[in-house]
Amino acid sequence: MKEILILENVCKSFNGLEVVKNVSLKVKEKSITGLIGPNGSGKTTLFNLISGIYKIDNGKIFFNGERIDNLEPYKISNKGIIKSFQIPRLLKKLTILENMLIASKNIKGEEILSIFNKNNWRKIEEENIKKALSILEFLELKELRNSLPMNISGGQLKLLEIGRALMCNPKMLLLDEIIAGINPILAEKIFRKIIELRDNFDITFFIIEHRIDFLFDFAEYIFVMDKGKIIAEGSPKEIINNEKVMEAYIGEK
Amino acid sequence: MDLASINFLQIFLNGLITGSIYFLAALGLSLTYSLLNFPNISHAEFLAFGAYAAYISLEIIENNFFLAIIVAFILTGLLGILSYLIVFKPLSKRGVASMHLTIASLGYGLFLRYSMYQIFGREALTYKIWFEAFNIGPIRVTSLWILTILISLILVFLLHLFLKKTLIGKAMRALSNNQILAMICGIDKEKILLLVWFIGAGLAGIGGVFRAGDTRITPILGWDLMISIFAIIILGGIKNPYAIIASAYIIGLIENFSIILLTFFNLSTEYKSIIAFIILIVIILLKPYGLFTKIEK
Amino acid sequence: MIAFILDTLIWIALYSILSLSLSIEYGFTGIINFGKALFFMIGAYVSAIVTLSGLNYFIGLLFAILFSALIGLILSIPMIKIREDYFAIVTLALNECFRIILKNEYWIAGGPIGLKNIPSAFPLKNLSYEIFLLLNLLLIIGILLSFYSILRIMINSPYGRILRAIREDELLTQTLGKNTFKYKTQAFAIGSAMAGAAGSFLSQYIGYVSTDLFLSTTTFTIWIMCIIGGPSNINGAIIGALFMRGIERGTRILKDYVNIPIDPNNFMFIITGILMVLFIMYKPEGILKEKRMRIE
Repeated sequence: MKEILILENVCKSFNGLEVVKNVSLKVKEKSITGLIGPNGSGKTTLFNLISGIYKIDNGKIFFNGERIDNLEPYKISNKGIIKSFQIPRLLKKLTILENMLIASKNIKGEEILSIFNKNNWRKIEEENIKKALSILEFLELKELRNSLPMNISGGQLKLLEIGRALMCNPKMLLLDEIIAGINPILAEKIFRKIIELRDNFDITFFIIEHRIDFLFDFAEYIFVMDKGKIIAEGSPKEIINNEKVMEAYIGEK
Repeated sequence: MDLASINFLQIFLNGLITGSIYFLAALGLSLTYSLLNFPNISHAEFLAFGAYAAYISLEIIENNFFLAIIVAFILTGLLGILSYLIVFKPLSKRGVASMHLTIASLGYGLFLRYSMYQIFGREALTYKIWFEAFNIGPIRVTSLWILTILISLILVFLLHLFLKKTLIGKAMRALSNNQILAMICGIDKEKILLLVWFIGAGLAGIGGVFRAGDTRITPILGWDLMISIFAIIILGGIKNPYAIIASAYIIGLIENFSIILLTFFNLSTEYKSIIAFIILIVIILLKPYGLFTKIEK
Repeated sequence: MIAFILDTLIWIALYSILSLSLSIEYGFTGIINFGKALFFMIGAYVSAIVTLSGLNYFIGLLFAILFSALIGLILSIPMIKIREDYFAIVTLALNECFRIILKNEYWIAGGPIGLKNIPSAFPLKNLSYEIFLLLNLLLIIGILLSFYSILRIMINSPYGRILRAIREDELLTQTLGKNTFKYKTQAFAIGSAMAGAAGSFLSQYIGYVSTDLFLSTTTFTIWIMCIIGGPSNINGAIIGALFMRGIERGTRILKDYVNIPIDPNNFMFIITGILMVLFIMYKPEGILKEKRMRIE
């Protein structure tokens, strides 16, 4: 299985503070790969670097063989990498359904010259709406489709983050703590869906998660970060038995 | 054009005077910009207000220019505090985005300006006071100009003492640098804000007096200088008061020396605003944090 | 009486176009443009120059629209990537700079005197005043309806959704694969084109142009209309225009009939200045709110 995402010696500092120190890793295509580590170890920053929200100071990032580390976020997103936000970021004055639709593509509907002929884009828009509604239904959010984000609960906002990520038809999804605050039954349902998407649509999942119990049931390979570095990697079994990992976490708990 | 016939020393003096007025006008704006995160467009009106306040003072107690300056400082400072308490504090407490504060400041500025048009009329006024003019070597000086530069330098010095030595001054710098950290350390943001609005507006008022003394008193006194003031703030990097002082004099000098070029090309002297604007654009595009700020990426 | 009504309607339609031109930029895309009067001015001057050289008015209108859009495009391309507060300052300053240049350079367009005797779009002899007004009203309504329809289609399409998403959270929209810079520049160009069209109409309606017509107070007037009517609602522009015209006329009527010792011009800006602050504080969405998409 080839490697879809490769990081080589990636470094990032903020105001002199090194947040990501010389990180190198490879994520296999179509895998469910985990990224764990104590708070402040640089995991979210790493995801922000991959998705282009921050620029790296040093190193290289390759996606599908192409270098992506100096591209604008929208270009990286169009190459197939979609990131969900740890704290849900939603468009406040758009309805839940519109928040989903914004993630979809409608090439003719998004071009200034072709929008004036509705036949160009109406059909795709209807398909996108159908897809959005089905995802909302899966996440048990369908009744909220016409509501505004400020009127729904925090847990529901988190689900919306996931839903929006799913709308994107990505090649790789970077998920950042998506089941925090979600009841275990729904969480399990979501992870099963992740496996289904991986199997049916060949999506690679790179997941930051604090609920290690969940992750270890579904992920095939785990990277462990602490203080900006990768301190361990391997299958869930190998990670559980790794002393360094225990040390890193006990320091935190 | 004969280079030898240009009185460079005179132009240099003019640059210092312009720079002094600019510094007085720009400092307050940069402080409120950095603390409340929005450019207060109504700040220009403080200059005109100060000029009018001094005018009233001179009407009541004639010939005492010093008193007029003090009156301008205090009254404009109070206007600053009022503006904050009535307009900008309620808005920021409501959590509106900084861009909404800017839009509101546009409206508030016009309210102030047209109130002044209403009260004082459209005719430009002048101070009924005589400024002695004399020659020092090759340059011509007026007592107003000497006052402008002297008082500005004194204020720069006082400001420096205030920021470096007093507790409140240090608190102000801390707050400007990192608000969250400063507040965790127990710094009372409200008190500092009131002080900043008072001093900032008051200084602008003084700047308005000096400017009006040189030209005339009109409600658009400050507005005419806005482009230059914004250029100074962006050049100096908003957060750093010392950088603002330096930028004010730099731009003041550049503008006055550029008049040589402008007259050479037969362009109007109004074009010096365009020169300030070009500087503004160049800085925004090349060094958006200002010339003086070190940024670690 | 009829003349008065027709003239009022013309001004309301003209203001509506200006208000809409700001709506598309601010209300839908979140761009703060403090230089609206600039494009209004460019359109007026370009149209005047074209028609004064003998060409048909509608060629002047076309040139005004294209030229304003082009300038909007050129100015926005480097600017759209900078912080929004700097962009606001730059547009404010640009307005002033263009005014200074036009005012001082006689060879471009008459300097401070401006251009006079601009031919009307309907250069027919022996027109009664009422017919003249009616024709102008039809023209301005035609321009307004065209832009209104265009905007309506834009807003209710995926394109419009992207604009609104940019307004809410530009970074998020980027991470979802949209090139936000492209959309912002396009919205800005369209807004500029609309203001230019309005300027073109103005120049032939009043027959002259000068830089005094396009001060920053003009920009402010457009802003207050847009905010009060409702920036994120295309019908809000018309409400805002109605309101503005009402205040303009109202302050004058107050002066004539009630003996308040305030100059109506000053009074107007004093009131609208206060209203601006009040609306931002209590009703920033304006009178007509944004329309929500509903799916059953």
